[in-house]
Amino acid sequence: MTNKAFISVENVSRVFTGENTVTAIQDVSFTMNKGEFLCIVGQSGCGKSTLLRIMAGIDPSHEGVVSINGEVVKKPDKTRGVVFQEARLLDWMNVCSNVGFPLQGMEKDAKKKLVEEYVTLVGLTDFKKSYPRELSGGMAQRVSIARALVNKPEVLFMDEPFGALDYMTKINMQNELLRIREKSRMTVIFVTHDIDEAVYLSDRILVMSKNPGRIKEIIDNPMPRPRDRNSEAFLNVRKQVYDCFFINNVMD
Amino acid sequence: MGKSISYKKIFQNKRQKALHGVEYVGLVIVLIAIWQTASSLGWLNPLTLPSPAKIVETFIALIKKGTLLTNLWISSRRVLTGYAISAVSAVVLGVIMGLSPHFKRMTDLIVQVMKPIPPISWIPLVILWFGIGESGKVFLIFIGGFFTILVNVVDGIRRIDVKLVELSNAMVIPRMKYVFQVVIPYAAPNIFTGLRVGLGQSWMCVVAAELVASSTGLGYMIMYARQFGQTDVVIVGMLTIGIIGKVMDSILLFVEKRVIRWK
Repeated sequence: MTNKAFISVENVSRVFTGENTVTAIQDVSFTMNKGEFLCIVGQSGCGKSTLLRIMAGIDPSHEGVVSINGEVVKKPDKTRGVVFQEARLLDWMNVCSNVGFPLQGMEKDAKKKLVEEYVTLVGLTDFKKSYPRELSGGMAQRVSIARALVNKPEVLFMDEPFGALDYMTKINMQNELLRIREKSRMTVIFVTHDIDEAVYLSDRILVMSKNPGRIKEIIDNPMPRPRDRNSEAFLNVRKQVYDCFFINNVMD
Repeated sequence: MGKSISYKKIFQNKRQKALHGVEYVGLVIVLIAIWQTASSLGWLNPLTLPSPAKIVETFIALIKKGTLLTNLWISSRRVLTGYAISAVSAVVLGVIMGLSPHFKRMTDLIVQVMKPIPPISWIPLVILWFGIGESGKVFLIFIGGFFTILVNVVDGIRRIDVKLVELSNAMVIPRMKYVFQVVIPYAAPNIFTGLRVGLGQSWMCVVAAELVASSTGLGYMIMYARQFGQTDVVIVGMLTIGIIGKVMDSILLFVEKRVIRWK
């Protein structure tokens, strides 16, 4: 197999057994380079979140092998950060404590400094001592991004992180994410069902089909950054993705 | 937005607060007035139901004599001892039961069978085991609080949001940190409910224990007074228990609000 790939996903399948046995994803294989930004796009129920969770090590009951940096992924690890659709903040901790929550065995001052660095990075300096109930949806999601980054992960997994935000907030958050990623050059795996979002953010777009979840197409998206959402190049990539799902505006 | 509160609004708020205060005590005052009127008009037999004025008089007399406060202190000490033991052991055991499915399965049947047994029905055994000394009463109060608190704690712990479990797993949070910083805070509202209901149970048990097997305490005071037909003393004892119960519950509620500030 490709030894040089930073991430390799080989023949991964996931079957959920229960009253109805469901094959969420079947025989998925692809590779990723270090520093790449991959968006996984598909309809709901196509197994895109399942794939992300397997890659992040949260779902160990799958077939096939995922390896990152030459090591097989079997369980979660601090080198991998995860951001979920909901911010999942701990209501009883303020912004700083939430961001510092994943840090272990650090000296107090160093911890404080690191936490403040990340709180500043996501633009919440003025809300350091605020509790989650005092934050808007976008601010809460910023906290959860800072929390995922504080351990300086090599790979950041994001499962529809902006799905619950309004349009304007979403666009702001997309720009913030690109700015943060510019600094750290992390590898990012980003699940979304928003085609525009995928085209704006990604280096490559992995399109999934449903029942069972498989790779339909992998679309290269080498547009230079910063990207213009209304440029012809943008619309061209957008059309390529769109055509994977719709033929003459009818769902494929 | 927050700065522009008008004087009219402040005035309305004050008026509303005053109105709520009137509602809070109004009915009580009306009922006492009716009771007093009925007594004064001779509609009530003072031997079975003395007038509010007589009860207040007895209340003051009992305080002056020291009887009431001595008995109140004795009963309170028993409750606080038994309750402290039941609260600590039930919270610790409840957290373990809530976290460990094995332990929960092993202990569930015992808890489910023991829980419906009214604490009062333990009295014969308690007298046999402990005699009529202090330890028997403390044990009974312990029984009264323990199962109620335990069941609430277990319930709260098991209700943990799976999304937070997954989060802690994804962040590789160590077990103990997960228990103390995620599970217990999440269950805190349920734990407090258990602690409050358990405290009420403890009060019921102390009176029950003192009614049957004691020569001190508020329960004993009530029982002793009944033998001499002192209905006023009986009612003073009952009201004292009620008021102290309410005060202790308010204290716990205050603590709960301070601890669970994030709600």
